[in-house]
Amino acid sequence: MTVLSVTTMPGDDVTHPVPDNTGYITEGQFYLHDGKIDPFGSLSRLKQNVIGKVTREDHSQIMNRMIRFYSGARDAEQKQAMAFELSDYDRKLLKFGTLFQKRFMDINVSLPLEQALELAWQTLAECFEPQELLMKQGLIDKYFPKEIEYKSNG
Amino acid sequence: MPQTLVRYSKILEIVGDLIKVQVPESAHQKETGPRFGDLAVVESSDGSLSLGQVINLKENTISLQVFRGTKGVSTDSAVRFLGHPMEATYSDNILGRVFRGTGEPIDGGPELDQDPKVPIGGPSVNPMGRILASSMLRTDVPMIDLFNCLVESQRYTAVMKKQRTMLGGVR
Repeated sequence: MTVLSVTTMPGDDVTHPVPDNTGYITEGQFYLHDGKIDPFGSLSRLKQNVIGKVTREDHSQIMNRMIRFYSGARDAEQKQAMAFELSDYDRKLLKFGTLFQKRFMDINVSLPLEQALELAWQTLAECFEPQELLMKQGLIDKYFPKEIEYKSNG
Repeated sequence: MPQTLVRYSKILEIVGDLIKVQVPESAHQKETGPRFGDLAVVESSDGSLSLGQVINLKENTISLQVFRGTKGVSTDSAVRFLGHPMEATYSDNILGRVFRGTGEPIDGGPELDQDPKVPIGGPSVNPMGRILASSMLRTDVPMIDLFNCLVESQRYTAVMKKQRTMLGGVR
């Protein structure tokens, strides 16, 4: 039996007793902000039982890299908002952040996991060089789309 | 279920949400005498009823936790022990129905008085005996499947900002 309950957060306050206790007795939470699932704060305690075991081998690394880059994109956004000088890498992160929101966070997106992983690779390839991913070389060799890599270099 | 009409009105103190009531020695011999975890009804002098649970027995002093709180309950109230712990209806007829916290249907549908009931507290489950979830639940929502995938038999909650439309639904 799988239980999914929905509760509102008064004043967007996760420390309010209702969402706090609801989160406490469950094995996972999704934060919904303005119709989007927020990757920060959402968690699934049992995901390690399936990720990479019943799903594709690159799932775990893709998950971690995408979230790290998105977190970097948010930092870069703040830098931009405060009118700091942006590095080339910051610009790549900003591009990634925009694509991530559009392709993954929009609640209307419906994609089977395998297609979502492919789209993740494609998005990474559009924004970064393979060596910037800091991922296992074996995975990069196997999944990194070569054509887009060529395009971005040219 | 034997219905008791015996009321105990010697309320010793009301502190916070707890009521202490004194019962005579003979109360323990009765079938509906106070037992740990059993429910009790507190009848105020104005006729209003609140439900409580026996949480402590010390000789003839019984402590009740009143679920609705003791606001408005005075020492001239009377306590009636129901002789059973909190129960929930358990049958096929509960599917799709809406219940209040104490277990009565509140959706205006048919009564479920005749349906079998089970006590809500049972023996605890051995956590080590649990079969660990290992089957992924696909939703086709990338933020779920890719970043925090659902696993069959897991409990989840979705917390959302108040007064926003809910996500289209997890398929």
